[in-house]
Amino acid sequence: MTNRRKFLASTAAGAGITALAGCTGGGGGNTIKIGAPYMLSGVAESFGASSREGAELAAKEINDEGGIDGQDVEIIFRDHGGSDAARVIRSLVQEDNVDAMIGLTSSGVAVASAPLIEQLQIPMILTDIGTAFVTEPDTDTYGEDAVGNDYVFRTNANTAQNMYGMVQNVAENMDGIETVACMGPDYAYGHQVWDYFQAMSESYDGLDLEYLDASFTSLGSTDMSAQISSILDLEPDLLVTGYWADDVTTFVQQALDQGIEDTVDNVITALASDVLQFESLGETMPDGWHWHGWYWHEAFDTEANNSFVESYEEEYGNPPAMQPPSSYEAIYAYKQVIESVGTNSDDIVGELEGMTYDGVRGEVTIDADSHQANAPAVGGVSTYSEDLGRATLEPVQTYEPDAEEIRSLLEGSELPPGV
Amino acid sequence: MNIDSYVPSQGERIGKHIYAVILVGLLALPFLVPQFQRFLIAETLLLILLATAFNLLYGYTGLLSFGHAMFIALPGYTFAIFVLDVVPEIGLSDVGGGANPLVLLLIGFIVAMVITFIITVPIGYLSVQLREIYFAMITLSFSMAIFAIADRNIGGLSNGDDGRTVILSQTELFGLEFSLIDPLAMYFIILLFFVPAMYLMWRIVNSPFGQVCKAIRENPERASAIGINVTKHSWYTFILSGMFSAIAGVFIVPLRTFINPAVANWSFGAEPVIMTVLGGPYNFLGPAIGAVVFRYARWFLSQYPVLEANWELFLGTIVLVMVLFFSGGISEGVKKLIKRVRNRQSESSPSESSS
Repeated sequence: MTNRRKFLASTAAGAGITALAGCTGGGGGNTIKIGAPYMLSGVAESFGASSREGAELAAKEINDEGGIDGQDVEIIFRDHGGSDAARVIRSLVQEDNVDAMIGLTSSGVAVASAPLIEQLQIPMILTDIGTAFVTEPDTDTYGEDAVGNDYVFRTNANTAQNMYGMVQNVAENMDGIETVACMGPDYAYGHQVWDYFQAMSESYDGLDLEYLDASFTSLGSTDMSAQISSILDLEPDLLVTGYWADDVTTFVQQALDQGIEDTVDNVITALASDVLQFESLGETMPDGWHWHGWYWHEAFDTEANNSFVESYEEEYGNPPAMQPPSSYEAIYAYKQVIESVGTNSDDIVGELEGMTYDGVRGEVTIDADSHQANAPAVGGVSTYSEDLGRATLEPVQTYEPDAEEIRSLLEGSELPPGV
Repeated sequence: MNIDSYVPSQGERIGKHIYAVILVGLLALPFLVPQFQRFLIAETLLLILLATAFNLLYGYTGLLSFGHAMFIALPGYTFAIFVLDVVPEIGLSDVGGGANPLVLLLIGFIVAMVITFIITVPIGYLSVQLREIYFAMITLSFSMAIFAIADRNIGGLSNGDDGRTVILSQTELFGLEFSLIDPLAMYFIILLFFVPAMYLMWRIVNSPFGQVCKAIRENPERASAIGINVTKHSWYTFILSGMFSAIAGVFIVPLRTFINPAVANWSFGAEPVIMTVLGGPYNFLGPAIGAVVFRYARWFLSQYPVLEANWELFLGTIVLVMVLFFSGGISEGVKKLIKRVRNRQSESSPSESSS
């Protein structure tokens, strides 16, 4: 008898909870809601935080000036972690009823989420994702990982565009490079850095490199000594690294300990022109290394960039790292689009395709087919600055992505250009 | 009392009535809730399956497995690899004029279950040679070994940390068109397997087989002394527990649309343990209650950004409070509460002569 009551009670409780849950379903309201899943904890925390700051600055500025068509824009941030992205994205779309999304940190998560985003039919502007696969719809040539679809866009430079800048740097600014090795994080992005570098430098006129070996360490690793040692033993002329965020700090410190300055003449990093990493390395940062990435706050001497950097520093107290311009521009892009066509997903998508806007980094066009922005990459040489207490990039330059050339350099390889 | 007459326990008697009520409720539930909730209850059904199957070993046989994550990872990955890699290779996608997702789902299910069975048998054999903490450690080790294989992409099948994405799409059954990515559709497919699976487990624990399990739990030495082959019986229970969990492992992939190594990790393997302890291991529906509470507590926290930012802390606190207040789990607590209420009732009414 007691069991029956208990079971009945639990069924009733279960139904009650779910009924209550029904009541909290999201409603319309007078705000434009933008869902923003990023990695807000764990190894990529600083990346997610930077993306967040850029987007929030844009939202604040927009709301101060009257919002989007008179409506305030509200950005709902969620931590998608390593394995929670599908649930978070679903929740933002179905529970919070967001009008559009920006997001994602981690190429793996982006590739895994792209099909779901398409199924949910929600426009998503990626602002911090490297892999070119996510803006490449051609599955015949590039396989199932080419998950580019109608609803996914990107405002930062993808890996192909980034590596194009790096290869140009090596070809034009470095002498006597014959052998190359690579180190990086042991997942899709890290491997792609090496794959793209090899493919593009092989086809690049005037470069004839011997590719020695690559050694990868697990993301967030605290001990890279074994891998560093094996690479240094090869004494490459150039070392390419795909490390980002805290891995950069770990790598630099441990590589310096192992005497990388005596063994390797040139080091070039793919995704580390990150002022936050420079601050955490402080004095220990080596001079003369090449640091590439999506952005450096002093690389663009334009009014748009200078006023952006100024507002950012005023709001947050430090200069923007690599992510903010991209997420900042994404919010403004949505403003432009929504004011033009409203909040219907397909209308937004149609308007974003082929759109040109004036961003922090200059004029940006979003390709109508791939949905990739022709965003520039940045590369500079580290020089310690007494005043700042950290290194800065001097000299530093931007690399415009030439879609045609990128495609031709990657022809014959299995790597999508995604441009 | 005649030794041969078998008196069904209280649990058995209410079985039929309660199941009818719960079944009707489960059939109606997805239509009463908004879209996201459908995903949530479908996932909760799978977690209930996992926890109840886990409890076959723990609550009923006294063997605490910390590696039950492997019974999600093995079938899950097998299913994903089968659908994504094997099917296009052997041209099955062209059979019947295009890959019918339902057929894919069914065949994938069978393949995943068979492969899981083949791997579970030897793992079980080795594990049951040990007891208590050593059993927990060895199951944990097997699970983490599978995690390592998946995470490092050994064999090139798992795609490492990034995982595999499985989207099963449009299909048609009896003229009714639906998409398998719609949680509503997946919910009913899951229900189709959930109900018989739960019923089977219920029958197992209330059978002589189940009685032997309980004997082993209470006193393995004594059970052995009266002729029970403890190791062999534990082995069979291990396989059963693993296979029922594997059902959940297969369906979690199309429901979530992806699988990654996290489902093989000990931190996920701890979830059925927590759910069972929370709900109560000594009642059949204890783990089910624990699974619902655990999953919905997690959902509740995700609704409030302040709580969500440190959700592990808050979830842990909730679990801690519940475990402190309900020794024996929520189901025991509810049972005691009802008993107290009934005792008060019988006190206030004229009672018959008590013995």
